[in-house]
Amino acid sequence: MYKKVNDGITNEETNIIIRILDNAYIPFDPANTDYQEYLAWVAEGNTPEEAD
Amino acid sequence: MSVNINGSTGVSLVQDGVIVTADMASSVPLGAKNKIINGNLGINQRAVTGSVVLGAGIYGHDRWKAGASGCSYTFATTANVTTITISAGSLLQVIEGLNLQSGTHTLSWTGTATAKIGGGSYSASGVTGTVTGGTNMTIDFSTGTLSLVQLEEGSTATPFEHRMYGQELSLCQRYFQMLGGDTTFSASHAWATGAVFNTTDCWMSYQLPTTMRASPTITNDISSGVVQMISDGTKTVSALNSFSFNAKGGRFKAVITGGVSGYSGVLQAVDSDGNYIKFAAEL
Repeated sequence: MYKKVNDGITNEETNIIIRILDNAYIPFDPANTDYQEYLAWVAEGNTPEEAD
Repeated sequence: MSVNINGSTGVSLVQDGVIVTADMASSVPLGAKNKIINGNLGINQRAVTGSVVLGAGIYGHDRWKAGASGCSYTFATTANVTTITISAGSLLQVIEGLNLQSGTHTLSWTGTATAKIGGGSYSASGVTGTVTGGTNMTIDFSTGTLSLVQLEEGSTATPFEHRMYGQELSLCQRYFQMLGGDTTFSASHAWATGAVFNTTDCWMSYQLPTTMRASPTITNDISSGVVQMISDGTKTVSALNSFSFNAKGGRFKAVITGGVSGYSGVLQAVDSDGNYIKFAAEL
């Protein structure tokens, strides 16, 4: 459902997650409601896919 | 003409010793009283049309989203007033706590729909409820018609506060904004500028015109038409990715072929083709 994403220049892991359903870039901002949904998804025991 | 301030009757407008407008604060629109954004329903950045069918939590007109059972509605605009007719489900607006003060508030609108404040019960226009300052709150409309929606402090509904279009749009853009999607704009439109990094990567910079509520979630679709990069010649863009934005702006990558490092680039698209980049920081 979610996938990690690496930085396009440094290739290091970013503080952004991709929602696979609509390829949405979701920043790790506690005020972002999509990020809040992601955290809830992780809290249920799920794990995001590794970055390409 | 003079102004009369009285402890029991409030501020009144007086002419020749006679009160012309009594208790002005309750009877005349005074600025910045409406806590609803896009209460006139005139801002429609997502460009929904016709019979709108929204899944749960999906937005239609700016700041208005479907309730847990979705929402089906149509809308029409006459003399700059948009009226929505909800045929099924419910339509909600979450009001940001930063814009709310504690106390009794009144929700009013024109139309047959019923509504509730927070966990209250559905009623006709003139619903009152208690608001906690600093805490997000939801208003919820059930089936029927609605226009000119207003939530204001106090227990009395007053005339709708009409804000300037640009002001209302800016208020909406705190929560959602987009590049592209303008069905009326058929010429190429420059979206962003940047620099070519290597043969495939052109890094673009874009500053959001309105600071958003939070770092936005970003989606894009450039499959509906040609998106071009003007650099050392015109190049077709095959993808946009690597978005990294905070609430004020950020950067992303346009994927091209045959790029020459060091050239600058202008990303352009035809808005009416349906291409877009959407930025969302909704509640």
